[in-house]
Amino acid sequence: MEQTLLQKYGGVDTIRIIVGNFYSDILESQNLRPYFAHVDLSNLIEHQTNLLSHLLGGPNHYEGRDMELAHRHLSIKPEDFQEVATILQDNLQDAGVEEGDLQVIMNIVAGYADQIIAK
Amino acid sequence: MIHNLVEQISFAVLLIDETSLSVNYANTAAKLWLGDVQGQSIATLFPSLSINTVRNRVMRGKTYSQECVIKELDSVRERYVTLTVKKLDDDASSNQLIVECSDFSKVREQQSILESYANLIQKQSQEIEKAYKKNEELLRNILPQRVMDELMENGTTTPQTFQNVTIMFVDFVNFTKMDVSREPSTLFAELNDIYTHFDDFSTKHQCERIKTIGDSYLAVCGLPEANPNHAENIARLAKEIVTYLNERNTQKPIQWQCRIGIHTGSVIGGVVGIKKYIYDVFGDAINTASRMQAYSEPMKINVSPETRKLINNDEFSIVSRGTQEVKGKGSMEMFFLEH
Repeated sequence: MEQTLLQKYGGVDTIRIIVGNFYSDILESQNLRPYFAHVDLSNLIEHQTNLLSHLLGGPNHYEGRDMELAHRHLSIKPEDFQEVATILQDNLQDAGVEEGDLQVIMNIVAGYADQIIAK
Repeated sequence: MIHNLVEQISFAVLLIDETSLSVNYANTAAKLWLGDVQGQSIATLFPSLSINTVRNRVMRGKTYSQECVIKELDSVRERYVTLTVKKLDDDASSNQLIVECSDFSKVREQQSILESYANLIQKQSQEIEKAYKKNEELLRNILPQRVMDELMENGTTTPQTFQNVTIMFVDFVNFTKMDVSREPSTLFAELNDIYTHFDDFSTKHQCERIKTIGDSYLAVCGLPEANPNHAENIARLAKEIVTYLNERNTQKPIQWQCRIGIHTGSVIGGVVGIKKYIYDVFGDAINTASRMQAYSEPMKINVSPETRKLINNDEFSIVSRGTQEVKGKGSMEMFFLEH
């Protein structure tokens, strides 16, 4: 059986580290912080863990509409979406994800832009 | 230089007055976490502190330690810290206390991540469990329960000889000649509907449907579980089938005429095939039952002497057809079971 990206890059420990840093980096950004003023942060962690696991081919409960639902009421600006994508990419790179795999993952993320950025 | 160091370390350090507990000095991290704290009392800054206990412990020369939550200044994040208070040991006897806060939010966050992940795995397990159960159900449609249990437990089943088994074949008269102007899918749907009813009747009478081959339906009683009433059960099943079809024929345009044959004997039953398999039965008794069906007549139940012996009671009305030459069996007396 083919190895999932998750298995290739170290399993649950990798999720733990990437999500931990992704979470911190986003909350430390002055641009992005205001989005989270009234968000239950434990929900955010759950959402991010689900997302990472989904992107890496691990166990997940991701449903196509999750992204849209989670961001619907937030009026996300395109530059903020880009900032989050960049933070994610940086953290994946820090964790040693190879260029080819990185491309695949970031393409999937780019595909979410439609669902996330406010119309 | 030391001052520079204290300014730059990443946990909060405060120096407070021993008596008033108000802040004399706060490092950069403390100001970042708590804002402009100069002159404020730690009782105000950390409302959850048990101030008397702090004073008492520190007075006895001990360190006071407690977990606190600091809401960040813009109210986005909560910082979980371990707070310690102790007397400052210095030459100048400045009567100050050191307050340290170290942030363990990261630990909590990591814990949250692992909990989330564990939940994902559990949900996945539940889905796998559901799929497994569905699989089992599908398999149960093909194999008798006991055979399936054996297969699940041992990974394989062994064919078995069953001594006292009654066998019923049902087929439909002129099926191949049935009105072909009708859409085949209609015929198919009706046959399916009829077979579903047959299956329900089988279960009702403790019989086991083995298989269908085109327009032929085969059910038995007495395997894989032995059954002392195997012949009677099959007899009742056959009667119910004829009754059902008669009823159905009065209500629907397509007329289904069945022929039923029944025989009793010993049978070998087993799983045939490896990747694609069914549970099937073999033996001379099967052939005889098939013969009984071939020698039956439309909407009639033809029964062999062996079966007839076992249903020789008031419940069943049986009429002899006399002795006939039966292909492959020689001379045989056969019986109609009235319904």
